[in-house]
Amino acid sequence: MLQTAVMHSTGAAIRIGGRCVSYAELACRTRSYAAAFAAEDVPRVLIALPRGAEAYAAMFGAGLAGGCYTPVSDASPPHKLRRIADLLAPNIIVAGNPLAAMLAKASSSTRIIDPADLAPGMRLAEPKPRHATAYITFTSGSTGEPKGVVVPRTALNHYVHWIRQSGTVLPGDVVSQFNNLAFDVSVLDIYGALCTGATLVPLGGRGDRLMPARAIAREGITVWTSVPSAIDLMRTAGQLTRANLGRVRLFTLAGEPLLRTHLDAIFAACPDAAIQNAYGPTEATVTVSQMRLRADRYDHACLGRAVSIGPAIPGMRLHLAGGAHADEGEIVISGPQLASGYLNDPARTAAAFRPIEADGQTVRGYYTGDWGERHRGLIFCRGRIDAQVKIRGHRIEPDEVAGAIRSLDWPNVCVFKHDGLLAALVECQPGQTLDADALRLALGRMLDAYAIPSRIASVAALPRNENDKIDTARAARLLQEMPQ
Amino acid sequence: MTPPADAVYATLAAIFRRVFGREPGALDAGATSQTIAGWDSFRYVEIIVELETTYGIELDGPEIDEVHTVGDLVALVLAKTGARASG
Repeated sequence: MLQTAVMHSTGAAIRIGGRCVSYAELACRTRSYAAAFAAEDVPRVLIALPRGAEAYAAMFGAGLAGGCYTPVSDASPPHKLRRIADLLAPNIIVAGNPLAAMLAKASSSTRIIDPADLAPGMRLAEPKPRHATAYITFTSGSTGEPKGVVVPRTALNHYVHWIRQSGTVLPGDVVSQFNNLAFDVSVLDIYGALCTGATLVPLGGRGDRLMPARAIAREGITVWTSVPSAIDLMRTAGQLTRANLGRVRLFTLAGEPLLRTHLDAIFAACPDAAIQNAYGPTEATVTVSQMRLRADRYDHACLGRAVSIGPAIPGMRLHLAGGAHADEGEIVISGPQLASGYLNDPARTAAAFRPIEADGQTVRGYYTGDWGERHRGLIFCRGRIDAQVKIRGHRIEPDEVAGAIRSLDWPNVCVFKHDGLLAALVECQPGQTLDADALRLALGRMLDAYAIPSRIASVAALPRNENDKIDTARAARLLQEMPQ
Repeated sequence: MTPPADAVYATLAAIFRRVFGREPGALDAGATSQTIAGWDSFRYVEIIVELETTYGIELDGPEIDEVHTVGDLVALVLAKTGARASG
């Protein structure tokens, strides 16, 4: 970033609410953070700031000071932030009040830096040698307990090199920063824009998050990156239009399955744009494969509703392991972007990062837990293996079954494995009654017989997590407690 | 002319019924997405779009940022319709 800052010093690095922060100003702020962090031998910095120049400068500053950082969402519930602070044991926390005070109470020996108090114009005499770890991102495991994924600097450098070489971000682009900082797809936004000379536009306000298409129009975004459900929000609002999205040249969609209906809707509004389906777990540094699509050529990349995750990016490899034949199996990733493992958790690390044989060589692999199938030479991700149900040898993807139920005017539904069989929990509004047999009959016209849930029950409200997503684990527990 | 707050509350109640497909519960000034079950992002967007269509206004992102309660939402609609009437 500092090299970019020299080349683009007067250019706008960040634009927020119409106000610009130049590359020179960002570099200056980065050096101030580095100087403040360098008091620690190895700074381990927890960053709990909203999207914006202070958060990005603190990230780059941690590297410059020979340390590593962990970004958390300032919107996370306090108990989750405290749990992450306990697990990470940071020696520095960067946060504004009241969050800073709350986190300080939890760990008294930790130094708290409030951006408002950070003196400008400080700088390190010379940058310290870079730490082997760039950042540690906490993801929620299936148990809900956060686990820290330790991402080496070499892995991050490999990824940033791909962002630049692939043209995902070009100098002069206006790049969205929609993704939550605790969600590692934000690495693509931040490093993509700020190591390229583009302008990054943080979109953290509730209004912009509800109506992203309007934010795109207002800010003149040219490179958009988000989960596909942000596209669903634009469609719900009737805002996925050429007038709003006409300046976007590339949509990168990651973090959730991209569906053909997303492609149809985006290309109808933006026939000249490209869409990139990017796939990857946090454990392999953001994304490791990409399928680049154009309006006149995307049919080949679709299989029913699914869109291929595409080939691995240069330097990385995708393998399919443990299937009945070579064209199916668990997706295993190898290459320089693999994380070093989980923080303080050698058992979990050993279970997920294991050797894999490839072309007579043994390499270190990350076993994703995702099921992949190769059709016409393209890999399709068929969902989580632990969520899949296998009945009479048929592999069933619960998300596809949920999609069929949603299309029958039950918009909120959760499908999961329950006692070895497929179960569906359907949200039923007061005054509505769910006729399970009628629903089964209707599903019979859309799905194979083996994909029709054995158990269908209704609830007044499905359990949801802090991001409004239906919480499958809690839904399963709810069903467990219901009479048969 | 600026519609009185009561009329906006009544309109909002009708919009909530349509969007939720049911009675949403108490829609008073202090109601929030925490007190009304099922008020998620998708429903919020539908509510905003219906308000915009009904009143011929546009509620932009930064304005929505300041909305924390149903009372805030009604006040925003009143402010926007007032601005349009006088502007």
